[in-house]
Amino acid sequence: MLPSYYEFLNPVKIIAGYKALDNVPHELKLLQAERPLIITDQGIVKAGLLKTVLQGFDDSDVTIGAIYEDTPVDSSVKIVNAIAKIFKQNNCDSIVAVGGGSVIDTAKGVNIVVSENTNDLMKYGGSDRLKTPQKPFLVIPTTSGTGSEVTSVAVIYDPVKKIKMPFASALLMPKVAVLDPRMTLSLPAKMTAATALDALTHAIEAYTGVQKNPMSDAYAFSSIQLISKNLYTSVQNPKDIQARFELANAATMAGAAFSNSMVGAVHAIGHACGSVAHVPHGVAMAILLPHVMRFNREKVEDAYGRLLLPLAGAEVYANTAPEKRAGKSIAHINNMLKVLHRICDFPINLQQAGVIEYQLKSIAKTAINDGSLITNPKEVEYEDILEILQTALK
Amino acid sequence: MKIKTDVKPKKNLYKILTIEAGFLALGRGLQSTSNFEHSVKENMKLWADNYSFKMKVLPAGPVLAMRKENGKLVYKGNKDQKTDLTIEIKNVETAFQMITTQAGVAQVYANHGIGVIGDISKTMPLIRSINTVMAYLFPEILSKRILKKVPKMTLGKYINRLRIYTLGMAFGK
Repeated sequence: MLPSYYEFLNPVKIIAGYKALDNVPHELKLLQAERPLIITDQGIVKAGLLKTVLQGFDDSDVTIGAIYEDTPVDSSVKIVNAIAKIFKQNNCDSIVAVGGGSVIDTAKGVNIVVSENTNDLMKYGGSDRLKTPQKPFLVIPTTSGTGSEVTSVAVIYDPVKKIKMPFASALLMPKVAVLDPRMTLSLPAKMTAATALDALTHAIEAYTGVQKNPMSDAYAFSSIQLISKNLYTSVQNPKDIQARFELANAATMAGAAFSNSMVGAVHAIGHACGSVAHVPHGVAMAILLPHVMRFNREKVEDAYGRLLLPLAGAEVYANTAPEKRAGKSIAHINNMLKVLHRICDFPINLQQAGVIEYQLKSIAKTAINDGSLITNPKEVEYEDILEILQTALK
Repeated sequence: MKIKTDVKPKKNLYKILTIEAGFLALGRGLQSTSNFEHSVKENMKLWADNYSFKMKVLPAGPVLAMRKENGKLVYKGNKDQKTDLTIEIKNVETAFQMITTQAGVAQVYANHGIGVIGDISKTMPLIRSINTVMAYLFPEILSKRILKKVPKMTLGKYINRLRIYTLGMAFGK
């Protein structure tokens, strides 16, 4: 059934394919930019990925104004302001982010500071606080997971107030997302699994949340199909360029889906596992996903049933009675985790991910105040979260 | 050819007055429940004393302002004022739907009807408290349309409802 009202926005131009990076200078020129600031991190530099990006600028007439290589995993307002200063000092006119979620969010923060010409990023926190069109902004993701290359949100830590401040505005969206399969080839097996399951969680939560709509459903459905098809291949054969490319596309589609439908309890509890017990985001998503699905099942039985098709394929779907499909979807994801555990020692419970039992109450207390719960299909209370955590612990 | 110029938007006084009455009831309900309802009291522990919020209908519609004082929520009237947390409702129609139980807070959020300025983690305790008040203010047949989960009404809760309708609405007690 269609929602009585919905909104959908995805204005990001996606350029995708082998050597898509070679088109970055042309895209910058189309945006009337010729002096970009590249923002990345040391991991990208060490993996040789920055070199690959820079090769894409060869023989072009675009001069790279500056390169910032030291974005930390947990970026903050201080880092954003420091990079914004570099942008201004070097007369840059655009931003190219090369990296995962932290780099992309940092770049979005830098874009706010330089475009709004402010030194107080935090006053733009919340929804729709931006008023000025932002500087041309291109994103080259190096993981297939966050989907940040097509989202209108950034989260940046404020060390003064000690809060992670969300920024949400259509103006934050990149102008171009570049999906070049070479950028994810060096991603280790466990990281590939974690980021892919993050994308899978984006798609499943987008498909079942209260903000779902037919447009986001289409992106989510196709994304799940591509993840199911390419997950094991990408983990077992990291150099399989076709599987990597399809996974990168899946992550971007899932990003477009959840940017318009939001996420739910998996993310709320997963964020808290990250802040309390330092569980990597993708790992937390993967472990919690089947448990939260079991919790939500009564409210979204039909939707989970439909997901069996992209998850397990046409044959399994057709051979499963309609009333058993939702359960089988959850079982399929459980099995996916077990296979990944076998292939690359992927953690399948919170204990394996480093969570200690005494931390569960603290995680639940943090999770109950996470904004992602608003769009979860079922009301979630503190006791529910504690129960989900307890079942996911061992 | 007849051309109309400077066409000013009309004011829908009936809807604005309904929202103002609804905001007053919600404000008094929040103040009242913060005195005795366990869940609201627990939620408000997450706010520091003197933390304030307002719900404001854009562009210049009704306002509901409240502040936490001595551990309890206090209704601070219907005038626009500076607050720590602001929930902006996109337009009069959206606020009208919310106040008249045509849509709950989660649905209005899903419909892109509200925006938040401030710390979103502070918004969650408020939304839970608003849902609690809504469950008291409206009979189950209406509240199940706007809440994902309707609390089970016990004798104690019926007595609380009576208290909100009398002392709560009149004095915020």
